[in-house]
Amino acid sequence: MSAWPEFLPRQLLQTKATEYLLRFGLGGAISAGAWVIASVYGPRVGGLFLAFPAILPASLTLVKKHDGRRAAADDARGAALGSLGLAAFAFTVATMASAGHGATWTLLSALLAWLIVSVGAWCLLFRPARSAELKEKLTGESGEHHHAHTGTRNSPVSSGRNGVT
Amino acid sequence: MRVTQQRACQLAALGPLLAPERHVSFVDGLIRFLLGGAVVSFFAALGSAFKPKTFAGLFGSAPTVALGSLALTFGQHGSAEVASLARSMIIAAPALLAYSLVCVLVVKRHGLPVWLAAALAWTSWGLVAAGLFWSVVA
Repeated sequence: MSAWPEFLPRQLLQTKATEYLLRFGLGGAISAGAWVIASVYGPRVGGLFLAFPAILPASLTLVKKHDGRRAAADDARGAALGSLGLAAFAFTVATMASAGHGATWTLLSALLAWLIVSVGAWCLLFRPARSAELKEKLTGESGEHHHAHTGTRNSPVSSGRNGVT
Repeated sequence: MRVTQQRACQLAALGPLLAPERHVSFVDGLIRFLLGGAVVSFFAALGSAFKPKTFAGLFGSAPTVALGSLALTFGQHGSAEVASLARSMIIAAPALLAYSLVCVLVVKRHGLPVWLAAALAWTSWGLVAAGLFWSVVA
């Protein structure tokens, strides 16, 4: 189960300069490629490539190398949720640009939409499991229940449960 | 006669490449490369600083390519073209979802060659994007 998100700046130092360069090169190449396709085939085809996975390929390779397969699979699960945020970003841009809003407001609003939808979806699916604690409070079926010394500590919870039910 | 018809068909298919909708300049491409690379690197670094990995993964689907590209397109071609690009981007979002889900499956498979895993993931993106494009837009 996941924990609440933590920002750990020291983890930035674990990434090598060559790995940052790889991400820069891949991201730049995809951006330039999307623009060439939009110029050649028009914005309707070019727009598809704005949702091309730019970070994920390099990230997964690096996460798998540093933290293992399970961590890489978790990273990809998060990216799957993030694609909902990407759709919200695109929808906001399409709506606001059609209404004639300027670049700054449109892109800032769209980024906010991406953040809200992505983090909201993450909170719904991966928020920390307080289930064990809640289960203990609501049903009294605690993992600690089997330990004799927890009997007195659980008694107020048990009485609370009885009060609820 | 048949050879001439074949040549005409080949030229028609190559049409957009031989005569693109607008001029493709090297400087413009370089600016997009640098801007796109910088935005992608920033979001990738931001994501790598977060724990747990499921949360860090959200940044793997951040609209990094779109952010730089749309900002430049706003200035160069106006909001109508930006809206057109964004509408196609909505269609391609499920393709990114498919790509991510295939990644979840293949990354856990021991012994699967990296090239095959990558090919499966890219193919899933391409198939979903093309399928939705042809059914919705075209």
